Amino acid sequence: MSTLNIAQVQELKEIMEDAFDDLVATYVQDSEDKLKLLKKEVENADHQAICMLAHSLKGSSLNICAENLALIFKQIEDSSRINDLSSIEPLRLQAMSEFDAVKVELGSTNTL
Amino acid sequence: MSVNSTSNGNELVINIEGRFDFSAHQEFRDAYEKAETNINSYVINMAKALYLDSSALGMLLLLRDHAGGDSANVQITKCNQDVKKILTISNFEQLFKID
Amino acid sequence: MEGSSYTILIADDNMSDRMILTAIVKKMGHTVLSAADGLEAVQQYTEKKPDIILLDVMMPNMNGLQAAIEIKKIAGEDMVPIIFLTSLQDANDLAKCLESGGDDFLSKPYNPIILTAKINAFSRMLTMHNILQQQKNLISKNADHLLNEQQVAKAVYDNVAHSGCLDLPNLKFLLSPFSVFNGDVLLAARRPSGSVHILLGDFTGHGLPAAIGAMPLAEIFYGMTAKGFLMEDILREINSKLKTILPIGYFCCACMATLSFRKKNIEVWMGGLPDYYVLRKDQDEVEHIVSTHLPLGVLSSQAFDATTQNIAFDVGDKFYMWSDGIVESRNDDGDLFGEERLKQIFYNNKNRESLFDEIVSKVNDFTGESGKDDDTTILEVGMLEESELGKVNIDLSGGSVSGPTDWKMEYTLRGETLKSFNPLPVMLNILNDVPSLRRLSGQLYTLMSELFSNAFEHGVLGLSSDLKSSTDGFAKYYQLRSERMDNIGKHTVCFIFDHIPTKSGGQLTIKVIDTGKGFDYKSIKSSNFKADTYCGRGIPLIRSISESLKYSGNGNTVEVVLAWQAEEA
Repeated sequence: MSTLNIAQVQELKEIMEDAFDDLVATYVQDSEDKLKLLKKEVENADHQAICMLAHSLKGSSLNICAENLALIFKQIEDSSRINDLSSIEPLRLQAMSEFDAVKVELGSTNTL
Repeated sequence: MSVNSTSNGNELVINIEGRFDFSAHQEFRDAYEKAETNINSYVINMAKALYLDSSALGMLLLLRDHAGGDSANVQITKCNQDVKKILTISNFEQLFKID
Repeated sequence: MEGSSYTILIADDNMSDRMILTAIVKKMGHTVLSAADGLEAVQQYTEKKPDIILLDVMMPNMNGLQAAIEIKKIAGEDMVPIIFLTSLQDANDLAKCLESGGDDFLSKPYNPIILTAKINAFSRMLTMHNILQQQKNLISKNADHLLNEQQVAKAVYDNVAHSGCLDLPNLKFLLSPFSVFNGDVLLAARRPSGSVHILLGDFTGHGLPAAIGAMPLAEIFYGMTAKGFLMEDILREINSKLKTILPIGYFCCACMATLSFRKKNIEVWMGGLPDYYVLRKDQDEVEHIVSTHLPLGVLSSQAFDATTQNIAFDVGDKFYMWSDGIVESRNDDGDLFGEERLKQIFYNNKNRESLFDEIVSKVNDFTGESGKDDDTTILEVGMLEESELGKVNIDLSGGSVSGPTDWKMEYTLRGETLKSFNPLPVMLNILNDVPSLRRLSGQLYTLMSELFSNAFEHGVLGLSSDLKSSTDGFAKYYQLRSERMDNIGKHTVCFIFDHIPTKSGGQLTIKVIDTGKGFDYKSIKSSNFKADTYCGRGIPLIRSISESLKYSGNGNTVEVVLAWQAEEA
């Protein structure tokens, strides 16, 4: 699976036009903030908060065409719902590395 | 409630089906107003008419006026008991041929 | 419409999501409002009233579901479509969204084609809703207008339609307060002679058209009854009036009755109403009084038939009058009350005093809540001894009649006017002002016609009707007539009318004087007064109508006397 759905990103570029870069910047900033918060909530074992964060991150990742990333967040969301906190931390780490890949891909979309 | 009409020669036959009341107003009027101009005799066929109310009596009067008033030739036929009764109470046989 | 620009509120706590949606919506040409949580969304709606809302479900402070409930509450009757933005997939969750006021969903990733289609669909619905609202408001305003007008009509109608002497002890009646809407009229008034006129009318149509006919009808009824006119004259007048003012197809089914306490009878005219019943004091079988005439307002004056039925009516007997509302009333199943049921009430009745109430309650029970009293007009008439009724309260001098009764008038036609003008209609009109002479209208016309013809043709023109007995003679007659008219000169014919009241009624003397040569009336014995002498063929006719006929002067003056009785109560 590729990090970004390239065809979808093209469509998104067409919608956003000049605002695409802004969008990417907003997404990256917003996601980084949320990921930091996620780490803390996992430490606190607050599954409610984890659920909400994961849900939000899943949504915005879908919208930015990062399907893999979105899937990971979905898994975190589902686990937190059934209170299976043990599987969350490994998933979180996975999400972090996938996010880095997405950032790189988004950055290089300028050349597309 | 429905109204349909047929003409043969100079006679216009208007068939009434169902309850002859105010809802038939426009259809009834159209039946004789939109007929050919050479009509000089009218037959209102009540075979399938169930009932008539006072607005139907009014419509018959309008037809009679259209057909020439006192010189009009309007026949109301095949009336059932209820219809006949209403026409009798109003003494419409003084203005129409009724059977 | 897809062409117009709406204001769309985008409520999503995720900034990048908001950016994407904003871009899509702005590209469609719409204006965008933003909110980052449920509370802001509600606030934005309250202040700016956007047309469509895109609402995220999971938001801090107030989630989408709660916000949707709040917003729909504030919107009230206004339509504001809410599209939930959600990645929820569980059917129950989605159902919950719709229950809280959501109209549709949009899932992530946001597909611009789908969002555009949904927004367009909702904007079509908005347009339709707005049109409906406008029409509803218009209808509501019009309905208010109509209601107001109807209330005025009702007030006017109430003053007219059921006043009079319906409160007499021998009358029991029921008339719906909404009778204006079903066209029912019930009137009663006492005549100067003491008898009572009653009129029950049922106009075709409902509401204002019915009320319009009732006004002149009531005026004529009360006015003429007070003046002592007979029922036939009143009916003739009402028929004539209604025929004039009502459009063709509109008429008034009616029954008029004159109740005479002195003669102990009822005279009835019925046109277009169902059978009425007479119940005798000591009999159980009802007598039917049947409608024998067309309703009022249908026939021309010439064709109108005022013939009445006369029914003996004693103390203890009862006469029942009603509109067709009783027999025609329906219950919830649509069954007709019908005449059989009505008859049953009469058969089953044990106590005459409660019969009226039994009829009313049986009809009400039958029609249930829906038709209660709406169309029921019913009157029970009983007979009283004359002594039981008070005296009729009419302010008159000289007896129990009104109209001009003591007067004299002279009308002379001279020369050219005599030649070309027919004075009869004008004179007859004046005579018709005396109420009781009105019923002799026909005879008076004949009388005056003969007198005038005699005075003019035989008196002034000196023609003899002998000439007219042969065909040649006819031609000669008219030739002579024409010649003599050309030479009419200063001839005149004078009519003198003198009317005086008498103890039992009144007397009219008509004197006609012409300037012709006259004839030797003294030499003609009344017993062998031949039909074709000087005065033409009219004399026996005049004699049959009048009390007396005499000649004076040189035969050019004739005096005729007519007397009339005030009819009894």
